[in-house]
Amino acid sequence: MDRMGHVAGKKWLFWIMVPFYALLFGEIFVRLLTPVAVIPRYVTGAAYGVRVGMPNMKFWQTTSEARVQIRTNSRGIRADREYSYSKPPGTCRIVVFGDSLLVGYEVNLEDSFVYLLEKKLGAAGYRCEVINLAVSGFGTAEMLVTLREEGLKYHPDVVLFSSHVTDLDDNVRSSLYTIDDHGKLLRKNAVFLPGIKMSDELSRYWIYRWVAENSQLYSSMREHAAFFLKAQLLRYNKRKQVAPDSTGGTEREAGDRQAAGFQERLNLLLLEEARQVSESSQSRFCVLEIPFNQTRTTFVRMLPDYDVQTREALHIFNPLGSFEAAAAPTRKLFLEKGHGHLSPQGNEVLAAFFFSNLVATGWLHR
Amino acid sequence: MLFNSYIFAVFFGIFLVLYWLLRRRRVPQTALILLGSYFFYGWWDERFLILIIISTVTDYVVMLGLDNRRLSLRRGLAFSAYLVIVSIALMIPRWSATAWALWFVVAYVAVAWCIYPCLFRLSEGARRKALLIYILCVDLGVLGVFKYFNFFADSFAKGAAALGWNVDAVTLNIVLPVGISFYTFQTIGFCIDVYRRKTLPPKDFVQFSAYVAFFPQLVAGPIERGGHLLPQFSVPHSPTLAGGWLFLWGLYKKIVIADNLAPFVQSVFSNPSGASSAELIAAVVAFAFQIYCDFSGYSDMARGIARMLGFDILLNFNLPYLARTPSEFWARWHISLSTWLRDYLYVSLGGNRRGALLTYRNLMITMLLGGLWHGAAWTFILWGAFHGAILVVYRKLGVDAWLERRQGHAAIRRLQDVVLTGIMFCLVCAGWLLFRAGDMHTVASFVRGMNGPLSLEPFRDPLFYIAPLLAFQALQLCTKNLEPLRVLPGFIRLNIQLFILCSLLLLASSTPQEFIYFAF
Repeated sequence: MDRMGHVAGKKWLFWIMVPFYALLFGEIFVRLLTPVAVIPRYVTGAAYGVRVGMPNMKFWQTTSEARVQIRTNSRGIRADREYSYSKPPGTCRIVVFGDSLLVGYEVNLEDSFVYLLEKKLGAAGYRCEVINLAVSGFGTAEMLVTLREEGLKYHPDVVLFSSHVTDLDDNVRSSLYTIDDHGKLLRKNAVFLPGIKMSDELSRYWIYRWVAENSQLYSSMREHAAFFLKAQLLRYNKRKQVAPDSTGGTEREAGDRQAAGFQERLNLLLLEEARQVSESSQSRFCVLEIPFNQTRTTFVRMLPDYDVQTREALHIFNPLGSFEAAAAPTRKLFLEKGHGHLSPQGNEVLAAFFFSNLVATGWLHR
Repeated sequence: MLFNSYIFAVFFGIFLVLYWLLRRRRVPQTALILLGSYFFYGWWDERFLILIIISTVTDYVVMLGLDNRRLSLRRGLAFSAYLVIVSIALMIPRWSATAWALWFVVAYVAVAWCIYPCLFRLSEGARRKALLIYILCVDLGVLGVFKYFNFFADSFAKGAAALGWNVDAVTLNIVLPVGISFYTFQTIGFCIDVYRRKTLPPKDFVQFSAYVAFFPQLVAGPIERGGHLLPQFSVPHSPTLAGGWLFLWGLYKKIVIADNLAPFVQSVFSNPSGASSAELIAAVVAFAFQIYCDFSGYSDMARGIARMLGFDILLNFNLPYLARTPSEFWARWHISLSTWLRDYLYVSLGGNRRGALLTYRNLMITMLLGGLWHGAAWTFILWGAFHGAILVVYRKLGVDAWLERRQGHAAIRRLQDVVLTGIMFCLVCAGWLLFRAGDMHTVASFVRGMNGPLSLEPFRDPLFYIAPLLAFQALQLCTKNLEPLRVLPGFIRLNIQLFILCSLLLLASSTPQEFIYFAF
């Protein structure tokens, strides 16, 4: 009887150990056969219905190219200091909106666009604060909501929207805005906080944060799941918002073609709205395009070529030439082993380009 | 509906629950399999269900006739009504485009009503022969129209043009119904078995319908035999998880190995003149493993699903690349088709009973038709001819006979086996080049390009995916068991299972490919 009990106990122990062993096996499997970047993204929900960086966080992002610490202040801004809403006298303010490229994921704070821009302005004699309201995963729609609800509180002299190819999909995915029957921008939903409740809950536990910052298996599974869910949400929202055109091909092709036109119009309307919101608060508005890298030395603009009038009205800055000039086969302007964010050199090129163009506008005073 | 799709997971989940609820009730369970199978097939295109149903009814009635049983008037009317009602139901969603099919079915039923009484005025032998010819004409006629009409019409026009006659090719806008080659061969084989009195005709029409449309093997085989699968519908089954690992192993072969090799193979075969000689060879070898993992993966999934439902379906692959001779290769590759061709074509032609020359002729005809079964293209016929030719050469050289009677030290015999296996693998790869190329221009580009310097670099990525398969096959050899997980110690089994699960989750191709054999 004793012996039988002993065997049964051993079996139980085996089955209890199996899940832990399976996780360990999975972690080793990923590290050996398909290593991935560990890039946790801590975001939470803001009262105004879109995402914001989690306040007072300190976490690591690790790839085979870099290991960087991301630190946020009490408002979730990536910075080592606090910013009051009231502007210090004699200081100009640039408020930057964008996605993880401008947050500076995968690079140290000192190598990020915002930090480099502020440094260059300071060196040129401008007393200027550059405030980074970029949030990972943002499209133009979320930038616009953040500008209205949070950005204007900082009394910016210049509002800078980054524009990247992912914005077109992100705008449809968030479904915060759409185009009405008269071709006007229409606020559709008040809130877009995907998975925030779960991530808020999980982030409270140190064990989750440790796993998120150290486990390649977890990172891989999370990226797979996020990729799948984002694609499904995008497909669903595209189908809901855009009717297929009637110029032939399969229903899906017609839908995609129509969606591409819709996405471009929506993005333009959002940028136009952001310009009006900024100018109504006596702020200058501009857009900084971020090119897409095909190889180390070839880059393409993925955004539509708006007419001159639109480009001038929106003050769109296109750094494609600067990237092409700075590129070399041995120089990485975009990181290659992680999620393709700007490298320190890429941030430097972007900051130098924007600095010289901004100064040339004459919007800032020493 | 693909086995590796989310929709199949939902379908099969619901199906399993219903199947479990009906586990002790044979008749409702068979009806559920039939409805589930029709739903599974109809998900692709419901119109083509009518072909399966016509084939099922015709084969059933003919097989009864082959057993000298005449259909009663009431059953005849019931079958006719069934065909017409099902046709109307299936054509309604696209009535304007498909209404003609209903009139075709009505005409077919009317002709059958005229022919059937006449057959029973013939003597038994003549009637059985006439019924066999009739069913071969119907089944092969449907296959011919849907699969080969355009190919032969086009080839005829090109041949005529070469002779100086100007003939316009009459081609039809025909969609190839998925799985038509598989279920047609399955029903023809059953009819011939009944004709040869090797097996009895089916007793129950619902069981026979479920046998023809059994969804695990409906669209890409294995091509089942009536004597093997049909009796299994006579007993109720309980669903089990026993086939789960076989299904996952098949899924692994498909989405991790085959689908990850596909982009490399496609890139080289689409532009062979731009590839180095090492890349060309690597692409052919990669295709050998792609098609093996694609098709045997499907077969394993089919067998796994069938096993979960309590059924056993035929083994279709048995380590084919370890074959030493062409005859061994065909005893290990797509076993259900090669045994079908052997039993119903090669043997019918006389097999090896009428001297060497006629044996070679029979081998060539069998392999040519086997090549044509795979698809309506000259490269498939050439592929069949190539395999026929190497079968003839090996037979002429007496390699198989020598292997049976050879003696000597075990190590020397093993070395001979390794050399013969290597030669056979190279020959099979040469065949795959013909199979995959699509046209002779591509084949020529490959042959020209292969005479260059070699390097191992292009083999690195394919090997990353192939290596675990080779390790698993080594395990199959060592344990002398095609399902080694059943006999391995628990801890080793656990590690292999975890490896498969991790690979499915993390290494699966992001661009899923259709099953290659769906096109056949």
